[in-house]
Amino acid sequence: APRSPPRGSPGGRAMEFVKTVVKNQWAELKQLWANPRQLIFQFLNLAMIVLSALMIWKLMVVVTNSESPVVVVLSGSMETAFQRGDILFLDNNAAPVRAGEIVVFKISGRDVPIVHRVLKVHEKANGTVELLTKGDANKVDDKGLYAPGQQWLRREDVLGRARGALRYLGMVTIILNDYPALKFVLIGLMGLFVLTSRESS
Amino acid sequence: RTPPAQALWGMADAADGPHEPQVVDTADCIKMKQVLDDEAMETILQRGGYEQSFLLENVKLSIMAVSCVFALVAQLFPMPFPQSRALLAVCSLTYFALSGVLQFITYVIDRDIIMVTVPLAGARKSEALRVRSQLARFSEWYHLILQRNADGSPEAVARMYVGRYFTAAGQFDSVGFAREVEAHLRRWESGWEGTDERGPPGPKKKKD
Repeated sequence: APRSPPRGSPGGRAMEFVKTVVKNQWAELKQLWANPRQLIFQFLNLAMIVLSALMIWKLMVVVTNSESPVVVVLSGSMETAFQRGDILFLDNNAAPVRAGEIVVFKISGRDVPIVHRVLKVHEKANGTVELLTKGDANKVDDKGLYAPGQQWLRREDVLGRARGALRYLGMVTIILNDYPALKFVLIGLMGLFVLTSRESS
Repeated sequence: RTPPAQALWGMADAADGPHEPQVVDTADCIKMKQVLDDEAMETILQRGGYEQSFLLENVKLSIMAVSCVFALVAQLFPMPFPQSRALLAVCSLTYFALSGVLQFITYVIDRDIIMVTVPLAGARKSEALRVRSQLARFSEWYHLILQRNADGSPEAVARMYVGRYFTAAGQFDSVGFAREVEAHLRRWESGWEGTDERGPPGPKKKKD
């Protein structure tokens, strides 16, 4: 018989559990492969679950008129209002941006959105809007952050005004971004279990 | 070497030949129902000579495929955001509408139906066989219901105790179960309706 750790050890039991799960999943996948109709159904089922999540996001984009209706606060520059890891819900509909509102904006040429408060708003007669922002916890305003030569933010740079927040729930996103391999592991596991499980329908 | 499940229950004879029983985790209610449903459907189709109707299933698969197309268009269409707002609105609302239709079909029309047969030549759709089954979570009774494919038509219900077909280790006696499903089917075909119970097996006979 092959050598294995003594039955009682936690390592041995964990290994056996993992082996059983892997064997069961493999048997389920083989059975699924043999039945094309069932395979198509489970595959479309999985596709719809993934697409439903993506479509809820798209619906939020449509409703809030914002490219990114939900963002995670990445830095501590808005302490004590928002901390790193908070989730923010944005609204980018037509109402004008006012000083004192917390906005999320992107500087052209950079991907990372920034969450700061609006300090000054200039509305010109021809309709153009210029904004100056500053993080609550920063000592200086954001002129130094903008693109070289840029003195003001435009309304188009703003992704939306913060309208609601969920404390700390965004830490999951931050962890998944710091360790990208975790994303694939998580999604792979979830996908496998959806493919091989059969609900009562 | 553990003896095959049939020998334990005394329900198979030598003519059925050696048979490696499928093993199921008896705590996994969904898997057990799936195994029983699959065996019941196979028995009814093969021994009853019926053909399975895929109409509703095909409708569901088509709806799923179409909604995936709308979703993929919304995700992948190469138009940048502010201009694509109308397109995204149409695609996402259509997607959720189709999703809703699908849920309606699954929970209102399909409910506990596991199979519908193709009606025999010349017969109407409502004269086809409809097979329904229920196995409540953590329950030990599997209900197999046969009726005509019309709501409210008389039902032949078999209440079957799962312990008759599974050993404590989870080995499935597919032969014994198929035999009882076939008996139930013949009874229904001869016009019987009502509820019949197949309870826990009696004291084990001593093996000789």
